[in-house]
Amino acid sequence: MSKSKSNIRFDYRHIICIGITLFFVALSVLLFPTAFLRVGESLRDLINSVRYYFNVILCFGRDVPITVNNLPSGKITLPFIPLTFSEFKVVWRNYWKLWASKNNLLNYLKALGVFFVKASHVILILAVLFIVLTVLFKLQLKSENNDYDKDSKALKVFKNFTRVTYIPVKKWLIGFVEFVKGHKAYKIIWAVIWLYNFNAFTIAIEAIAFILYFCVSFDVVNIYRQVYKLFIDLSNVTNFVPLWAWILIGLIVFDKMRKRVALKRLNHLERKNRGFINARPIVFMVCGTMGKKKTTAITDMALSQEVMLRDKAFEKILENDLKFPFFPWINLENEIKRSMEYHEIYNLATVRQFVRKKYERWCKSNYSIVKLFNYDYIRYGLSYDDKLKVVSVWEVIENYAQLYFIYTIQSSLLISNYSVRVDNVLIDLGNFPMWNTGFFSRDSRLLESYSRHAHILDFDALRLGRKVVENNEKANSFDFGVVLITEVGKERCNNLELSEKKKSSDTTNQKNDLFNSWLKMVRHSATVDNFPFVRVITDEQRPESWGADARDLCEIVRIEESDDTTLAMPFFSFGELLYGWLFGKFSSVYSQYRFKRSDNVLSMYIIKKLTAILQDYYTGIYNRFGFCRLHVSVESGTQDGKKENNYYYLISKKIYSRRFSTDCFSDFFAEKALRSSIGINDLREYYTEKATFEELSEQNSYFISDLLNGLKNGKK
Amino acid sequence: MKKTVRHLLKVLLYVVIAVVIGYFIFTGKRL
Repeated sequence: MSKSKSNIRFDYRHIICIGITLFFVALSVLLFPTAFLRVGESLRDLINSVRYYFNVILCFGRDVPITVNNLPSGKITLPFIPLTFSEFKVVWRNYWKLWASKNNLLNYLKALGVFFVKASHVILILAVLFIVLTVLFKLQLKSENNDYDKDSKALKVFKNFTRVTYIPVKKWLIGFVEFVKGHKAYKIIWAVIWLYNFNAFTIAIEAIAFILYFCVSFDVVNIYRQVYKLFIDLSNVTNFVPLWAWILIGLIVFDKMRKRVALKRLNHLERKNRGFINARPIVFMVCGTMGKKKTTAITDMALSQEVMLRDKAFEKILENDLKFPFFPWINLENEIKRSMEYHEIYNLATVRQFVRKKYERWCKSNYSIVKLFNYDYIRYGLSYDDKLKVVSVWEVIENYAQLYFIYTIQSSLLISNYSVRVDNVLIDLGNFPMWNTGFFSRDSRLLESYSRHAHILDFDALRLGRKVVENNEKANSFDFGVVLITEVGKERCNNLELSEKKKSSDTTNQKNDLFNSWLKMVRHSATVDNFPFVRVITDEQRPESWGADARDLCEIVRIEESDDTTLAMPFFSFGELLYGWLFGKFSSVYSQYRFKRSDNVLSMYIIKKLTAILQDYYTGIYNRFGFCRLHVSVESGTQDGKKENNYYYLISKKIYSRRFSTDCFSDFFAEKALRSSIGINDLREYYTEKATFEELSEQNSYFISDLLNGLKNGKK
Repeated sequence: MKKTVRHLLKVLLYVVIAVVIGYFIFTGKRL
């Protein structure tokens, strides 16, 4: 009962919102009395213009009063814009004359000087304050203590003060903003009131009125008058909003614009990456020494490749759709969806089987339209000529169904020997689903809710010959997707390492599992509508670690060098300087403070808080808009051709947001370390700077044992 | 260091641009 009562209870914030609304209405009546008049005038102008427009078009003559060129009533004048165009021309000429005059320049410099003098007054006062605070803080740093986590008196007062003032106010405001966001009606009403106050409706209506008038009158002379009227209408905003607010609005708009530029740049880099990946063959290997970001690069490539496969499927779906533009594809799609739910369709072969069954039923039904997904073939035909060949509707249906299957699979298309997080979202309203594949606009707080991971790679699925597990049910599971194998050389080994292994051996090994044959034939299982929906991306430290038979199929992408992380967002130099300077200062002061004291003082509390805010902002910007350029060279797997230099871009937001674990095999080492009973602290140290015989023999080294053995033999 | 100098030069450029824009506005006001 109490629950229903609390539901019914009226939220007091409604009263506040209603109060605000009434306040806004009062403001519009008292401060913007002309707005009402102007809406009326603009409506009058619109009606007259419409009448004029139709009169001229229907040849009824032009004797209709035109009011759109009238100036607004009321005594509104603009000091900075002349009334007519001829006056404007004179003023324009004078402006440039004045602009180029020496006197004006000197006056400006004088004014600038005055400004700097005023600014220096402010800086002087602030500087004194700053110096006093710094001295006090330095004094604090001089004293030493071990008062673990004890708050100073000032800090206690500050905390108590903010607990009853700042924190509740902040909490309430956040709640209130959420409340307003939840009640759209208030937002809309307030927006309408302010748009009305600022003459936005008037401007829109007048614009339509003038366009209607202009397209039949071609009255070029009066365009200036419209500009003048526009400025008069805009004067409601310009006069109301104070200068500081304009500066604030300007900064916010500027910030939004530079972020938009950054996103554009990142998208451009992503497109360049895709171009690079597309230029590679179906199998390729990324090489580089340790820490060169090999695994990062192949993960990044695989993520892009997954998106590209889906994009390609979508593109091909459209192509096939247009071959029979009046085919009710939605009926076919719904049947595929149903079969996927019942697990009748789960790979490309079963899709083809599904279509063949449908075809047989259609034949048996004596070619009924209903059995052809309700396609009116009598009217629209059953074949399509692409000027190379004639294809039947059933062939197109088979391709369409396979492409639709590839496109709508909700899990990842990645199959890998380490885990990769993917976050493409399928948006489906019950019609044709759409993929949201943007990497750069994801909210990191919602990461868990839409993430999925790559499929576990069972190498048996890639073996055409012997399998490691007999009768493995996953042995035939692979038919398309992106296969991602890190450290491929350690799995497949090279000819030298395999010299001991025999093809005729009873156990499965790299020589008799026919993995290489699979690699050579991989495109056969994955080709739909003449496009192979497969990619094998591997990495290894040196190309020679992978046997030549397989390696010769690849292209080798070597990571030669990686640049520092740079920012795609322009105009961040000021932020960069401020951060560099403040962070440097803070770290030296803070380390000193940590060394000498363990209590909490107000000054450090505030400095730390401010630095944390700055750090948050700085890292946030770098994580969202940072990227790192890799210098790569591409050569043929046979390693006898020319190297071609290129770039690949690793974008932080895409590849470092919990995509994969750089220590993907660390669990193995953790298990190994847990079996040990000693750690680095327990290992013996050398006694002096010269190792003794005993100490050397503790190394269990081949070299040392050889030396010691030699010594022993010499004695004999 | 090289990076800092680059950022510093950029900031100086912004200041120069601000001063030039200021001159345009100042001239307009004197008209």
